[in-house]
Amino acid sequence: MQQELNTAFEIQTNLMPSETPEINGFDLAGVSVPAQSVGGDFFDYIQIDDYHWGIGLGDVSGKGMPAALLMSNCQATLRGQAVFGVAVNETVERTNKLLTRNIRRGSFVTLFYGVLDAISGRFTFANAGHNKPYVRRTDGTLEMLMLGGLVLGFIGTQKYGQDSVVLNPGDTLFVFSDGVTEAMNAQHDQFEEERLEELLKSIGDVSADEYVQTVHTAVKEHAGSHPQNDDITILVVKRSN
Amino acid sequence: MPFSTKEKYQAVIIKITGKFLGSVEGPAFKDTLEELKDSGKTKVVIDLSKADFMDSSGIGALIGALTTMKKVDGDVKLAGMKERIKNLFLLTRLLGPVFEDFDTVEEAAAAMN
Repeated sequence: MQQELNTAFEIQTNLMPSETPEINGFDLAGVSVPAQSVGGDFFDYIQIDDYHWGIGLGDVSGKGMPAALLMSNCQATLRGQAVFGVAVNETVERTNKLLTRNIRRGSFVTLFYGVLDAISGRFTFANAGHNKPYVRRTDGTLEMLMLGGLVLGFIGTQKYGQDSVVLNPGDTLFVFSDGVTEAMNAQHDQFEEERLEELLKSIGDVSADEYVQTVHTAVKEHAGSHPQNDDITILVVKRSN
Repeated sequence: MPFSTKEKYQAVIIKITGKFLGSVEGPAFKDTLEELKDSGKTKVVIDLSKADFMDSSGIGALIGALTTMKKVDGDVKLAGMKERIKNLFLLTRLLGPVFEDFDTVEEAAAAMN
């Protein structure tokens, strides 16, 4: 069994982006730390053409091997649809339709997915039941990307909306899974959105990687010796110029 | 066990108390639903008034319950959600297209009868 888990871990690790893409004018970073040997979170960078990149973060319900298998399925499905270069909401709709056909009863996936136009800085996104991401502007203000939608895997014909935001030089898009805000300490106090928001406001003009590490460190410090109870995934896109 | 069952208002009321983690409680919860289904008790209200926290697999367990009962023309409705859990259902957009919630168990049961 342990050998199977090791193999599954290896497969999952290989599915995560091994390299962060170099996108002119942008700085990207991401981390995903499973609570168990294998996880149900994923993030991905998908090149659509020279100037358009799909950026997604998903969270499969549950943990361990069943979640890991569904996570791999979802990630592969999303990749397969994203490269068609259709509208963002259509990519999510197609992914949902395919997942709904073969998902196990009681399982579902939350997904935040968007396409970055690396020339204009416009990021067009859809949200299938995922925690709402933030854009931190250069003056330290935070904007929550409010668009929502039904989780994936329920209704194959579900329609999704899309919205967009322009990242100006210095602005940062912060996407995360619920393992961040629901990280518990020994007293069962969660990290919570409020603490995350205060932290994001206080982070200065740092690289995307430092952004990720600062938040991850704060979450780990909050949890202290309490075991990690959910996968933690963080994805940052910063417009550098 | 953080959930208990009783029959009232011509429905089965499953009351969840404290933390409901699907990875921990899911199998027993599923067994309970299967037993209810087999004995023809297919109208279920989940009383969440004493539930403080639920993870995504906990929601999955409730979805499993709904699917189980819908297949045999039964139903599952939610009642008494606290704000934290309601926010989770709102975020996932499961309220409305998938689940109906009510302020009280009595109202939820009445909606099925």
